[in-house]
Amino acid sequence: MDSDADGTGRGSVRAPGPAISHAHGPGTVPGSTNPVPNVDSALGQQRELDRKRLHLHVLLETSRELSGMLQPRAILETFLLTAMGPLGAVRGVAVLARPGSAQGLVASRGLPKADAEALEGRLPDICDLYFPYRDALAGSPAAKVRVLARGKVHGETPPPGGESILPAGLDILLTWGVDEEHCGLLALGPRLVAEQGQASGGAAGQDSGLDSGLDSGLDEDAADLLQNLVHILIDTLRGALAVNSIRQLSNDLTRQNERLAEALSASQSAQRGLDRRVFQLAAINELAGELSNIQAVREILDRFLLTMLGAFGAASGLALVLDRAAGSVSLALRGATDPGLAGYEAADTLVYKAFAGSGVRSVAPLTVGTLADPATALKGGGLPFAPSAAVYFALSPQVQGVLVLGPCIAEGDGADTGRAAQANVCLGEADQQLLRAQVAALLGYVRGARHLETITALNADLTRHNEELTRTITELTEARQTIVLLERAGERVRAFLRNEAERSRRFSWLNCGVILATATLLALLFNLASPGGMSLIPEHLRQPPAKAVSAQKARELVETEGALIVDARPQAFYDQKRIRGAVNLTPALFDMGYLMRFGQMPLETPIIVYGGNISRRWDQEVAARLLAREHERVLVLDDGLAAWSGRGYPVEP
Amino acid sequence: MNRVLTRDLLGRWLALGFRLYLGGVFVYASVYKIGYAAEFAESVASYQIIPALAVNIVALVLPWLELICGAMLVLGIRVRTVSAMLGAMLVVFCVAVAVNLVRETPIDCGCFHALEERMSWKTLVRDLIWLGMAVHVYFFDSPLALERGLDTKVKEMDQ
Repeated sequence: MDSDADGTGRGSVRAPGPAISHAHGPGTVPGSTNPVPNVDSALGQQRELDRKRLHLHVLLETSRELSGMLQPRAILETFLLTAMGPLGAVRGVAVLARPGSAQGLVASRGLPKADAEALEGRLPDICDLYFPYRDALAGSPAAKVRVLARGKVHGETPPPGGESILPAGLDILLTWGVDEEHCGLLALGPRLVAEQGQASGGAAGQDSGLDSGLDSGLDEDAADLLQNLVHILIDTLRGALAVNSIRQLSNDLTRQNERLAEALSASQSAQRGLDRRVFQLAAINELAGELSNIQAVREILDRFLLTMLGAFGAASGLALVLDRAAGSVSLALRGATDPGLAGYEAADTLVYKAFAGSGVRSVAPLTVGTLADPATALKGGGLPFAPSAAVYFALSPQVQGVLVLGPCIAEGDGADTGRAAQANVCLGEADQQLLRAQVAALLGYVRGARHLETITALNADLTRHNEELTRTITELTEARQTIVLLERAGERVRAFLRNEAERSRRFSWLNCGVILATATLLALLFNLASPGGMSLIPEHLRQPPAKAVSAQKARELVETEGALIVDARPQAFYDQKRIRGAVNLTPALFDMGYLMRFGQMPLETPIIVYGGNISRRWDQEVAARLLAREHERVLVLDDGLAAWSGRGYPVEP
Repeated sequence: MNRVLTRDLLGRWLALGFRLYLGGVFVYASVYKIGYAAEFAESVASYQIIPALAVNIVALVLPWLELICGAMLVLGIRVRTVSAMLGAMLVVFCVAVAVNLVRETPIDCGCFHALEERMSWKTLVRDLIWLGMAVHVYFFDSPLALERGLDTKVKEMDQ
């Protein structure tokens, strides 16, 4: 182990050797060794060997100490503990940092507690100052170890106060990269004086020569040792970080697993809830299909209640709609016998209790309110079962109702059942909401059904009105026909009257004829009926005319036989003009005149009568009467006075 | 306005006066003649215009004709026809009177009673005046007629 360790140790130490840049150059080391005599040379070799053995021992111890450690802080602290001694440092600081996130660990030894804590706090500054080029430090499999001189970090002047980040005396500074993320810093403080170190161990003694060469630096051997120690530290840290990250991953995995299991159980629970919901919704969907075909409020309530009982797993339930305007109650009850809720008073009480318990402020149309504590609210409402859920609803201020579900028979899902058992309610929050939503939907159906009833009633009304209207129209038609007839009759009457009026104003031959005929008829009738009536044809026209005589013959008779001339005309005519010697004897005064003039006259004396005209034959009349008085010769003068005077015979006056 | 009133007065209302007067005269004249038809027949005959065969018939019918026409004229029935008939009768009377005045026949008029003053030119003038009245009545509508009421009613119905 030792030889092996020695070989590998030298090789491993030597190999990165050139990578170390010494602050004072290589010239100082050869300068310190002088040519020695043989004994001295042997002693020197011996000493050299011892030193190397010690170094190897230290390396072995360090790696043994560090092996199996997993905590980075413990590793750093152990490393400081084991490395400070051989290097003879009084104080030491080890930093493992993640410059990317400015986080890390600070382990210190030999520092006052306050300084150590201050260093922890100034970790970001340390990162900024010593690991400015993180990419250059990390990345390579073989981490680069860089030795820095105090105050000359990368040849730049540190920021003000940067000098004071690390406590004074920590002159040996090394930075290294652990992996892609982590960087390390090792600072070791003032070394013990060589003579002192002699007493404590070989390491101290060997360093004595270095004092001058390395201004607070190290000689080559110590540098090798430090180099090797640092490499061990790096390897250990890498391993520890890897193990830590694996452990972290494992922990994460476990946690994830747990979370997954939780999620699975939650999803199973949700699945159950969903199944239930799907069942409810399927039932409700079916209900919607059914309800849309039902037209009676009562039937709708019954069907709705049945579906709700099935969907929410209630054993009994009640749905009630109260119409205050009509004073009617529509009740659907299942799972219990009606205790009289179909009556208006009981239903009114129940609905009022539900309204009071629902927390609804006003009875606005289409209101739906869930009763938080149905058992208390509906107490005394006459329910035949213990209510587990109740919903109050109002279709309009006049039409209100309540839906009450009885105790549950279904198991329900876990969380809901727990709460249900507590509150004597078998419906969960979601179920309540669903129930409420369904009642809201029910409102629509009930309203539709009520509207349908109204419409049906209106239709019936309309039909009746239509019939009346038809009847009225028929009557009107008849009346119109009558009116037409009457108008026609009136028109005829009017035309007749107008005609009459017109005729009354016109001259009419027909009227003349009618008047004449009427006058004639009346005259004849009157004449017939009158005692003083006269014959239509004069009497004398019916008798044979008397013997006529010419004027000449008449004159002869007068002159020869003393014939008497009689003037038969009225006296006015006689007075006006007459045949000389004529005697006036008119038919009207015949008897008196005859007595006066003809009483003593012989019957054989010829009598010549004259005095006829176109209208009256007085001469014939008088002649006839004279003949009737038995005068033998009664003659009528032809053409009368005209013939006489025409012949120039004497007349008078 | 005045002209309208005057025309109305001279037309319709004068016609009414003529109508009533003329109708009254004829009715009055007819009554006696109906009662004493034989005397009237003598009067008719005294005119020496109508043939002997027709004298009695005319003497019977003429008073009735006068009565009917006069009554219709007073009542206002078929005023035109009646006034025309009366006018025609008056024409005949005038002609008869005129003829006998020319003939200087010594007769009574026979218009009202059998015994009257002798027919003269005054008789003819009177008859002519009556004829003028008849013509006036013929050409002017007059109020207070039975058939005028009918006419008014028809007009009211038309409205």
